[in-house]
Amino acid sequence: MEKKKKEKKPVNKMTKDMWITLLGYSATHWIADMCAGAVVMASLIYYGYGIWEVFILVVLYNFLSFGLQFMFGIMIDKFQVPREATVFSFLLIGAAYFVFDNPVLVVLLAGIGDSLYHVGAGSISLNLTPQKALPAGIFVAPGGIGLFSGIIIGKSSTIPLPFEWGSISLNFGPVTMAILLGLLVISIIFTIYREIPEINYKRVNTRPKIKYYDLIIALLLLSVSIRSLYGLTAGFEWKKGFWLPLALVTGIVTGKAVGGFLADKFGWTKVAVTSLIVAAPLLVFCQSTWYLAILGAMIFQMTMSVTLVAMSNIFEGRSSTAFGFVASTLIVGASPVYLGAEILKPILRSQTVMLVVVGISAISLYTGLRLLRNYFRKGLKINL
Amino acid sequence: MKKIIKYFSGLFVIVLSVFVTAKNAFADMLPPGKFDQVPKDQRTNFFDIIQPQYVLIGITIIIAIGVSFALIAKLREVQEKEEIKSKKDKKGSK
Repeated sequence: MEKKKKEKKPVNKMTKDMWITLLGYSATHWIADMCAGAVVMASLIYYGYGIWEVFILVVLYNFLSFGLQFMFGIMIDKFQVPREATVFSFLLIGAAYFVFDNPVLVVLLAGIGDSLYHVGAGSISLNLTPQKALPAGIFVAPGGIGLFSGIIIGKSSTIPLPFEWGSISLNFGPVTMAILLGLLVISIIFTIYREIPEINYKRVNTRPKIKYYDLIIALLLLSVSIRSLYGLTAGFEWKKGFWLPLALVTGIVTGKAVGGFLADKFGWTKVAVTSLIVAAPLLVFCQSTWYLAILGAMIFQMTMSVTLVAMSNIFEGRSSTAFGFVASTLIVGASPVYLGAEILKPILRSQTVMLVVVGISAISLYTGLRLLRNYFRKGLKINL
Repeated sequence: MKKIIKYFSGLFVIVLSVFVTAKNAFADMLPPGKFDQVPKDQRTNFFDIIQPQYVLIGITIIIAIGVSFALIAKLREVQEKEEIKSKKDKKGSK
C-alpha cells in the first residue's frame, strides 16, 4: 500500500517561486503576442493594403511566427540560450514599431521575434516541472487572448460595452505605441532578472532509447496538425462583433490552462483523448449554438499542454526543439487551408468528415501516448 | 535528430505541394471563396509585395540571431573556464 501511495505522489511540485516565474512568463506571452499582433495589424491598415495583400502578409506572418520555431528551437538548445532568445524576441518585436510605415519589414521583425519568443520562453516554462503538463498549459494559454487583444488594438477598434454603458475607443497612436513598448521593456527586465530553472541539456546523452521513437513523434504531430487544420476550417457563423469572439478566445485560453491541470490530476491519456471525444460532437453538431460551440472549443484545446509536455519528455534535454516541432506542426496543419483556401473548407465542414478528422486525431494521440507509457514508467514518474 | 528533421521537412514539402497542385487543378470546379473574390488580374504578385531585399533582410536577421547565440555560448564557455581556473589557482595558493 505504501509503495502505491509513494508512486502517486506528484513529482516536481510547483513552489511559490516557480509559480511567480510561470505566471510572469505567461504574462509576457500575452504581451509578446499582443505587441506583435497590434503592430502588424496597425501597419497593414496604415499602409492601406487591399484584402489580397493583407491575406498574403498575414499568412507570411504566421509562417514566420510558427514555421521558424522548429529551426530556432534547435538553435536555442544547441547554444543553450533560452533566456537570451526571449530577450532578443522582445527587441525584435519592439524594433517593428520603429519601421511602422513599412508593413513587410514589420511582418518580418514581428514574425521572427514572436517565433523566437515562443521557443525561448516556452523552454523555460516547460522546464519548471518537466514532468508535469500544468506549466505548459498555463504558459501557452494567454497566446490566443494576446493575439486577439493585439488585433483589436491594431485595428483602432471601438469596443462596445454591455448594458448601454457606451464604448471604449482604442486608437493605435503614439500613446498606445509607447504603452506597448513600455510593456516590452518590462518583459525584458523580467526576463533578465528572473531566475530561470536549471535546464539539464546533458540529459540528451543519457536518456534511454525509446521504442517506436519516430512513430510516437509522428503520431503526436499528426494529432496536432489535424487539430490545427480543424481549428481553421471550423466556421462559427455567430463569431461576429466583439463579445462573442472574445468569449470564444476566453474559452480556448481556459481550455489550454485547465487541460494541463486536469491532465496531471487524472492522467494525460485520459484527459487528452476524452477531451477530443467529448469536444467532437459539440463542435460538429452544435456549431451554430454559440455557447455549446465555445464549450466544445474549450474542451478541444485541453490536449495542447499534454502534446507539448509529452514531446518535451521525448526530446529530453531539448525542450525548445520539442516546443518548436509542435508549433511548426501547427503551420503544417494550417497550410492546406491557407494555400488551398476555400477548397478544403466545404469538404471539411461536412459533419461526417469532421467526425472522422477529429477521430483520427484522437486515435493518433491515444496510440502515441500509449506507446510512450512503457518508456515513462521505466525512467520518469508521469501520470500518463 | 537528423532523421526527424528530414521527415519533418519532407512532410512540410509534401503537404504544400499536394495542396498547391490541388488548388490549381480544382480551382475552376469550386465555389468562390473569400479571397477568390479578388479578381485574378487584380491580385498583386507575391514577389511584388515580398521583394528580394526583404528576403535578404529576413535571412540576415536569422543568420545574425544564430551568430549572436553562438557568440553568447562561446563567451559563456570562456567565462566558465576562467572561473574554474581561478578557483583552482585559489586552491593552489592556499
